[in-house]
Amino acid sequence: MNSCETIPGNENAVSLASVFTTAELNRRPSRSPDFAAENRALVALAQVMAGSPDRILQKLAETALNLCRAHSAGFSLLELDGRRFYSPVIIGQWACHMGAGTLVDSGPFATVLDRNAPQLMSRPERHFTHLASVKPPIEEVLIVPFYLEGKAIGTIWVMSHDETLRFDAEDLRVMANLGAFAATAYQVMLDSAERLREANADVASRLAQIEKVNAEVQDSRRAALNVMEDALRAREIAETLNLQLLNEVAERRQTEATLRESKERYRILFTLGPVAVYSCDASGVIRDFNPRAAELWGRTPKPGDTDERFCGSYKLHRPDGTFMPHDQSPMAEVLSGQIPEVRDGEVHIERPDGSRVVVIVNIRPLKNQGGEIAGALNYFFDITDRKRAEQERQDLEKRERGLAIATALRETEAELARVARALTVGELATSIAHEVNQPLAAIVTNAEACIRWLDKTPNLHEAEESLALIIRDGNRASEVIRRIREFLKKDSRQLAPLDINDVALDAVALVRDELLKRHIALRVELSDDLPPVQGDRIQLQQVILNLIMNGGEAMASVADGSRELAVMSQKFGTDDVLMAVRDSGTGMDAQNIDRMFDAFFTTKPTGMGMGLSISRSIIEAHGGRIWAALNDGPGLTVQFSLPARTENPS
Amino acid sequence: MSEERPTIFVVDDDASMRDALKNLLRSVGLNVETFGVAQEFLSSQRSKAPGCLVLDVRLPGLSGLDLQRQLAEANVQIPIVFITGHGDIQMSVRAMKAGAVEFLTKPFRDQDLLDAVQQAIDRDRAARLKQAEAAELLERYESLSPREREVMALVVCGRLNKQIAGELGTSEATVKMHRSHLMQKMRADSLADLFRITQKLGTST
Repeated sequence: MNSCETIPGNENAVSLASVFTTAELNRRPSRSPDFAAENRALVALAQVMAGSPDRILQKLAETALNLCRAHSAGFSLLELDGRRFYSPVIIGQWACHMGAGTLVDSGPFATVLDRNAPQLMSRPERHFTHLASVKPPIEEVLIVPFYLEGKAIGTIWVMSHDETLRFDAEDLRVMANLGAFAATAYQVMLDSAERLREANADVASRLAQIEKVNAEVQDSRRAALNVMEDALRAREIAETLNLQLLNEVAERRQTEATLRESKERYRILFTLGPVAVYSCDASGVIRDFNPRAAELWGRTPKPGDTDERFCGSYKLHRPDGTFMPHDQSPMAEVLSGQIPEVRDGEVHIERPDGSRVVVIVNIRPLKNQGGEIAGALNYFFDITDRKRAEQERQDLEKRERGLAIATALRETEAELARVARALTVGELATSIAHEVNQPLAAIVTNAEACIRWLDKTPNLHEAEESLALIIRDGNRASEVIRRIREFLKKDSRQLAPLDINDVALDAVALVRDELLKRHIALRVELSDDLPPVQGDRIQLQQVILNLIMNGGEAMASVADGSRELAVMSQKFGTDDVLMAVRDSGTGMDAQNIDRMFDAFFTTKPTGMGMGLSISRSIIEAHGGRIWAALNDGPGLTVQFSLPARTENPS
Repeated sequence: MSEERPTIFVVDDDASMRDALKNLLRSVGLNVETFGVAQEFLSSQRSKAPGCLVLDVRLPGLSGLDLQRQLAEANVQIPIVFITGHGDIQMSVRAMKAGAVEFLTKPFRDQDLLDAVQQAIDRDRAARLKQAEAAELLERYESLSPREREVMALVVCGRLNKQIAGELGTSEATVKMHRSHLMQKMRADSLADLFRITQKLGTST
């Protein structure tokens, strides 16, 4: 193996085997271990990992340099393509070489990766002749490879640059520990970098590559879960280490301190990473959670509080938006044994401030020695942004568009809905009629009374009183009329360029529940190449609402299965837009179709005959036209056209 | 039996309507009391004069139909004329079934309302008379001795004096005496008259 491993063209190079001096480590006198210093260093490392993971490699290198009193320390990491090493961190005398890259097969690090164990090399330039010119020269280098999921990641190393420093067995032990730590740290760092990149990514390109990003997010989530498990494994390793410390430094009152540090380490490991974690006991009482969990919950429950069961969130919702009681949450189902575990379940968390977070939950039960469920761990991951991106993509799809907007509307405007529903054109007409009718009826009655007072033996005083009442009521009626006029006055209209589809979707969102209740299937077919119109959003919305409600009422006597209401828009003529509402109801006698829009014409038992009349006024005030036609099949279609908005509305 | 002037109670939440109704009803010589809400009427003191209620269907709080039901439950018998801004058939059927005299939609012709009110007053008057008569008959009946009541019960069942004497274990002469007393006390001229009186008693008690 000697000559074949020399680098071609370097005839003076010695064999690779002769630069490896690992065996010497055990022959050299070894200094005694400084466990206290090592422990302090590990805690410091964990803190960095939890706080600013992007600095973890730097911190690890510093720790290696200090603990081994080395002249230089650093990392050589394999690039993703596996063909080159690069040095993201080098400190000490060799710091000037930071960022340098070398081909995998031309440096000492690959040979260590191959040997799968820490190695010491002495004056490696004797074999790797290209190192001969590198200053300061390498006297000794102790290289520790590390791996993630069986895959080589890179090495962490310490160097001496002259004979005054020789590494020993103690250095080897320390570096081996740091190597184990490095694997976890590396993943945490990558992950946090990934998150930073994601946050800064350009939204447009994200949309374009949405599928790809989704896949990556999936992967990174899985990776993050793995990190959590690695971290928990690392915790076991750390605890083993603590046990060793305990044995070796028996005279010190180490027990309590170790325990505290072990807890602290567990706590720190628990807090790292982008994954929220919490644990419950068998009865669902929350035992522990990390800051990320509290962040997603938007609140900080009290561990052990028996009111805090199954989940620390304020409220939970299912993906379909329905409320999910805590005792029906996935955690509750796992604890009760109804399901063995939860993989990638979706839950919506509502925070106390009302904001919502979409999370993917993964729940694993914790079992005691008897195999009974003693609790469960829930890892959950914020996918709100991803969901939002999905939503945006769906919005582009016409059919989904209405649903998305309706959902958003329902969430944010539930209150408005009630108010607006009460203010449909029909309702308005009813209340107007009542308001005007009262004084009119009073006038008629007073006038008749007046005639009676003047009959036979005239009572002029009473007749005068009657006339005073008539004047009062007449004024009152005209006041009502004046107020209505003002309400409907053109000046009060809020004219703005509108997408008539948006207006229709707003209206649909308001009546969707109502139609559902009446077992009416709703179809929304909106053309997506409509020009904007100029109009008053509320008035046009009320017209559409009125048409929908009329359609719904026309189907009241139709069998359940065949109630269908379609809301459709399309281009009309060259410039106009057309909005149509088609029902599958009882239709209308042909001779009545033209009278439909007249005031006081109605076929409904409780109708006022004002809705369509007012609708017509509104549409005509917008420069449009409204008409109705019987369908080929059952039912009636009522539609209106509006002119497209011109660039310079005069 | 001198009768007081009829009083019309008007319940309508609209002040204009209230004033107009009062004006119209007063013009034909009727007493009028007006109320804005149903509860006000319920808690008012009403005279013994005949009268009726002119009631708006749509009222704040207790609706007109609710008031009608409450009055019926409290066994207050006052005829009701309903008026409404926009009545529907269902509503008027409900009101009429529950005993309303008339159901008028505003604006109504004055004569229609006055006719309805007159009809209601007549109805009330008749009801009051019937009630007074029943009370009078009951008074007469209560003036009978227990033995006379027993005899009367058997007489109206068509028994002969002899049969009654046998049944009560007494002499025919004694039965004859009781019979004569009870006819007097009940102010019955003939056996047929007694039948009629007992029938009225039976339906009103």
